[in-house]
Amino acid sequence: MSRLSRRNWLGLGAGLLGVAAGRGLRASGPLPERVVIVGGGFAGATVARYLGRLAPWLRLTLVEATPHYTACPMSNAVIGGIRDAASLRSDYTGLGRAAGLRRIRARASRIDHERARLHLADGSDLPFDRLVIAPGVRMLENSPTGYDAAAMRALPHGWEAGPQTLALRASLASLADGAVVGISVPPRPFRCPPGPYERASLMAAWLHRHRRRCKLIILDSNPDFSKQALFMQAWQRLYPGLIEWRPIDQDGAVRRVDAATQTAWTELDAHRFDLLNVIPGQKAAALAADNDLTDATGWCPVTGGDFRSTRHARVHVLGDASLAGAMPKSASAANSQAKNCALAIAAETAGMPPPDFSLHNTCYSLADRDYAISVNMIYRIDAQGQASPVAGAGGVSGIDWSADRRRREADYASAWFASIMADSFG
Amino acid sequence: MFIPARPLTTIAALLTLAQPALAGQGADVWPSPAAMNCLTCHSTGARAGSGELPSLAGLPAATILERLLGFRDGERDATIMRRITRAYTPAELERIAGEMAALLP
Repeated sequence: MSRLSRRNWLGLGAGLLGVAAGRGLRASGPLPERVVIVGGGFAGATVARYLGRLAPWLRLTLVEATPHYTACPMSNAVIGGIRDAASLRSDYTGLGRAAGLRRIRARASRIDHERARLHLADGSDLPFDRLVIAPGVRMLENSPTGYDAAAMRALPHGWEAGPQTLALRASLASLADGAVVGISVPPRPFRCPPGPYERASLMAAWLHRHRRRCKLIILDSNPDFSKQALFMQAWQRLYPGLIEWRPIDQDGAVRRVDAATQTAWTELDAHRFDLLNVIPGQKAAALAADNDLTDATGWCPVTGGDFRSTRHARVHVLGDASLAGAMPKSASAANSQAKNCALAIAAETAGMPPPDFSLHNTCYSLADRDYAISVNMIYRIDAQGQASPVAGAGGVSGIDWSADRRRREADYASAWFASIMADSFG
Repeated sequence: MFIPARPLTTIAALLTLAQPALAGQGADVWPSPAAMNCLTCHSTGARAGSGELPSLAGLPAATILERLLGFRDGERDATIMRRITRAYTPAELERIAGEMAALLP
């Protein structure tokens, strides 16, 4: 960690511990409370890190199967050949330094809500007083038809960063001049709303530099998209005519694919590609869906601010799996949700009133290495208990901004990524 | 009961107060979620290329507040900060500035 503030944070924690001890906390239950966190992505890591500092009286356990995390933000830049894959990775050693965090490398298999135990794939189980899950999304099989598990291996979606990111990078780099690339975008909601269009942009930027006569077609199951005017302006400026976007009302929705021939069928047409990138339909991860934490939408209903499940009061659901009001499924949103949740848990276990919740999201998208656009919003909790945008705040980059401002946003995008990785993973 | 004249000017100071001083202070002893959100970008001074997200470490609350109000009023050049600061009243920004100065001394 940087100059911040290991010392300051530890000081903060010690101070709060003094508060807790002095107040004789939580008449209703024993201290310390056992908090089990499942999932070491942006939300899970952030909530572990901040709880360790804000509420050092808690016994924290983080359950995560992989030894390191590979971030999805900036993974499109790896596919586009302008970022090193190693820069996406973070191990969990920074978290391990947080006060009192036990990390278990295992896969969570089942939640016993009645007995308040988390069962792990190795047969052991963990008792909890409170469970915080941040399991992310699951990629639906056969969404579209034909894009099953085998097809996902043959034609990587790259919507979970890691080996699939590198496979897509290699596929792009091996294309011959004149090749046609297809990207299939699933119906909303999905992880990272501007992601498919950033991917198209960075693939196009690479093709424009290295292959000149290629074409990229976005087949979209939606009528519009995030930062649309800004993206389309960038496409026109940077690689005119290379990207074609077909929305759902122009026969853009892919119904079926064949991985072997890289063919995508819409209602009226068959498109054969030299590289077909299918981004599959998504729902909350299996751990949430299989343990009664999702509703009819396939996502996890929560109360805003503390992100407590409306179905099981001892469980909080953070990040992409949650139905977080108007918030997008993004790393920035997950990081902010985790901080609000950590403050809520700290306050509640200390017998104090909840904090004044404030949620934040900023998403940068790169259209080229020196050209980025942004969208952001602040959310407050509305009368229905949901995260709701603050009127007059947030929005997107100016459509009339200069090339210099687009370059500055690209610099900020890289700096944002470095900073949120440090803030979330230590 | 002790009521600080400027609550949260220094969170650290509040936290070391004797227990009775905290009665009635509620969640004010913690940094607010709004200030926590600032740390995502502004705790480490991360650099990339020629761009930088400035660390706010070492800045007095008054300086941070001046910048925040400048962003909000459109007097200070910004890419995303204007859109962020417009979510808050000047009084809320004052509180956030105080908390940031305390969190990143």
